[in-house]
Amino acid sequence: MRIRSVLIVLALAAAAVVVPSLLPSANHDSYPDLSRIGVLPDTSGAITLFLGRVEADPNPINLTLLAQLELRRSRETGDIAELAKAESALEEALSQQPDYAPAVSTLASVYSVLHRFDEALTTARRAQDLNPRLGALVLVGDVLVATGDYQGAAAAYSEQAAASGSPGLAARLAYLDELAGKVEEAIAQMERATAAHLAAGGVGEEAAWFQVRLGDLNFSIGRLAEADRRYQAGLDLFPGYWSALAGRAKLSAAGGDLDRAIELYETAATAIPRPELMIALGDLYTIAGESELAADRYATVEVIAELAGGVYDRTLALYLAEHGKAGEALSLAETGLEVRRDVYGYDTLAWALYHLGRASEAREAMDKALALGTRDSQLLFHSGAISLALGDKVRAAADLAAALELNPAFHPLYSVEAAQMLAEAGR
Amino acid sequence: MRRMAAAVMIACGLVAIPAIGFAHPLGNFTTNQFLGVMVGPAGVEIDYVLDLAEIPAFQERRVIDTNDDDQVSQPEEEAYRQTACSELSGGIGVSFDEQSLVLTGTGTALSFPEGQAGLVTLRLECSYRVEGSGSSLQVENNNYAERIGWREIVAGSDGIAISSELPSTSVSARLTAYPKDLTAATLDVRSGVVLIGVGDGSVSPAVAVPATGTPMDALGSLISRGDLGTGAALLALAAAVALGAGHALAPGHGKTIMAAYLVGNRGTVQQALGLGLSVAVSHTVGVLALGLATVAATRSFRPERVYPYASVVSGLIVLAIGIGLMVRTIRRIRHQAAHRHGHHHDHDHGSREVSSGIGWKGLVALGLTGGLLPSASAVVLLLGAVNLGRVEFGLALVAAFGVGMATAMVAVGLGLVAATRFGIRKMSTATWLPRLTAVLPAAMGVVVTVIGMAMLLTAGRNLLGS
Repeated sequence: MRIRSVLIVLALAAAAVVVPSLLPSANHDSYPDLSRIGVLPDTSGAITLFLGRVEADPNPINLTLLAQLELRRSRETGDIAELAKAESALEEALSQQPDYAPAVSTLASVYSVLHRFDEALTTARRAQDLNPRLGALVLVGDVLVATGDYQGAAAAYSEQAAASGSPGLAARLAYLDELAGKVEEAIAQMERATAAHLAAGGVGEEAAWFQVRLGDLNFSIGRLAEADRRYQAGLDLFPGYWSALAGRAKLSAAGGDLDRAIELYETAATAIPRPELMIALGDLYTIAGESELAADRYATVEVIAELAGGVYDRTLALYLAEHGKAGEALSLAETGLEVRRDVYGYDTLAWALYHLGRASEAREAMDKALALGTRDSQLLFHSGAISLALGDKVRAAADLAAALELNPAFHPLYSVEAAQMLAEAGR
Repeated sequence: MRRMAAAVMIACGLVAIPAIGFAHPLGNFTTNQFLGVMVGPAGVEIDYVLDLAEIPAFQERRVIDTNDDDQVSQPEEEAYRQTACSELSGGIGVSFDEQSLVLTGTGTALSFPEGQAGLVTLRLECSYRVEGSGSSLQVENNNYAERIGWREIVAGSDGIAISSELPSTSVSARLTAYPKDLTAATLDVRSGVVLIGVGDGSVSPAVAVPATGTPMDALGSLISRGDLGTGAALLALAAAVALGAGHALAPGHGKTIMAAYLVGNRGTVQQALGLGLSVAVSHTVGVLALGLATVAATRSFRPERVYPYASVVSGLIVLAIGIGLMVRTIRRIRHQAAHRHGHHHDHDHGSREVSSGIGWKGLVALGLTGGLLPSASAVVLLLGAVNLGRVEFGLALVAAFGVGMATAMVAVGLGLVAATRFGIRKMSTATWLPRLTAVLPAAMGVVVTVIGMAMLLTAGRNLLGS
């Protein structure tokens, strides 16, 4: 009899372990979110398919699925112009059925990508209220991260994690770790998330995104071989993926192979001329002494950013600060900060102020950027440069050394400048 | 009548969607191309148009501006037109009966239509002539292959009969008026064939050929292909089998219950086979039901609302199986106890009652719970196929998906059966084994019951929560 009760207890324990795997989770066997799952992996083919379906029957489901596919394609190509169609489709779906939760949730994602954070937050919260099972709480958290409310984001994520975890959620928690300077933890968390995503059948751009994140994290602490392996895995999972190409270009530049770096960045920029790729090309051509080519690439930055309607303002502000337009950079940074009071918003402000010669204000802003303890070479380089301008050689040396210690070749231009400044601070 | 009114309202709703405010179908990064071929008795006239949206146009103008004075002068324009059209001719492939031919430039035109944000776009037109004739003309456009943009090819004839999959008129009016409504697909036509001297000269609408990728991609893209060869169809079916197997191995699908059931019953090979098959069959039926219900009643029917109810049914079945397992075991224990007390019955103590537990009915019910929740992937595949009028192929894919699931489930089941037998043989010297084997089915009954209750709870919570 005793054995029997022991066995029953064991069985109950076993049940406690296996039951969670049986429960319907947000990302399995619920109605498909085509922006995310690996079904119909050929996005263009799927879009053609659903365009026909919308034409035959423009009901909210078809319109929403089409919008999700457009969202997925914009993630794949890096082209935010794709989202105009998605937005129209969702507006149409919601005009037919205003409380159709999947459409509301997808619209929140679209707003978020377009950096319309106020609308994104309201819409994501509405989706969460309409149907908590859609996991729109993750979107709420994403917007809060983007706007610098890290505590709010952590709360939203952990509430979602309690309801149902997912590799995507784990990846977001890893980002919070990264911002808090816990890069090792972030990598470990991200590795688990990546493995889980692959095990659950993850494919395409989404699977490649996990690899590129791991590549970036490893690059940030100078683990170049591992970063290379991850970027390559990203390219294997999604051939031609622009951000994986950019990652490999970054690695080539760090390894001193300028030609290869330029070739890779050019390939990525041909597919999708994003401002950060153009800036990187301009920097590399500058180092290679090709000033005309550098000027050509730099010249596109402002045009691309202007046409994108504010999405690239932060990249643009940093670029302007370093290319003789610090005044414009400052006003962009200040405007940006009204919506997004996050780590990189304060960093952008600090860098604009520094280039305007307002070092003490820059110091103040930079301290806010570093308040979480973020260990990012570029942030530390900015911080060191500002301290040096203020004559605080001790702080400057510490920050610059930390930046170079994380990754001695964190940027083709900045790491060289950081080393020079470090030498200067040591004198 | 009411249905019709609703249909009219939907149609009007679609028309009312505001046109999208981009000058180009895919935004201001795009490189858009048009290729028109006009086939005559002695050769082909080629009309190639390149339309660069704001950003590529901005970059291209820096190339045109060879003296870097930020102005595009007449000579600079002239030089660019000639060079560009001659370079672009290399990317245009024209061949008669697989004999590739040389393009001769016959004219160029360049303009800079106004674009967004005070920027200009670039429109370059190049005309070429190809001398030659044949029975079949292949055209392809390999220019700017890796850029995002509209790619269109049209084919017409002058004085001869042709037949082609390529359309005879341009839906974008040679890249001057892109369709702006929501349902307009971005064309991506990179090649085409024109048959000469056959047919009545009628042409069918252009079919975009989706890019091919991994074997998994084949599944999604193949069903959207106009022409589907035997090889491609087999590939798609194989991909569906693989997808099904992968799906069965993902969490859920009652693998745990199956494990508990087979281990608890010391299940047989036949049972493992039966379980796998019933999962596959019930899954296929579930997908068909859900898919067809969606097609039949698209307006009011929301497939995602079915899931909570399906979950409730699954939970109830699992609960019933669990309780059934427990009851059977208790009965058997009592029965065996009776034997020990010396009451000899004259009935068969063969394996059937003892080892098959709740029997085939239970097996089928168990399989049902594994297959009752149709996979979203399979439903979407079916919808896609139905949408394209390729119903039979969609059904075949769903069936193949089911075969994949069954194979994976059977493999897991057989593994469990083998493991259970091996484990029992290993432990047969232990004195506590008879007690364990007597109690194991009961314990597994408890496991299954608890799982059923948990499934019901979750399903109920979801029903109330949504």
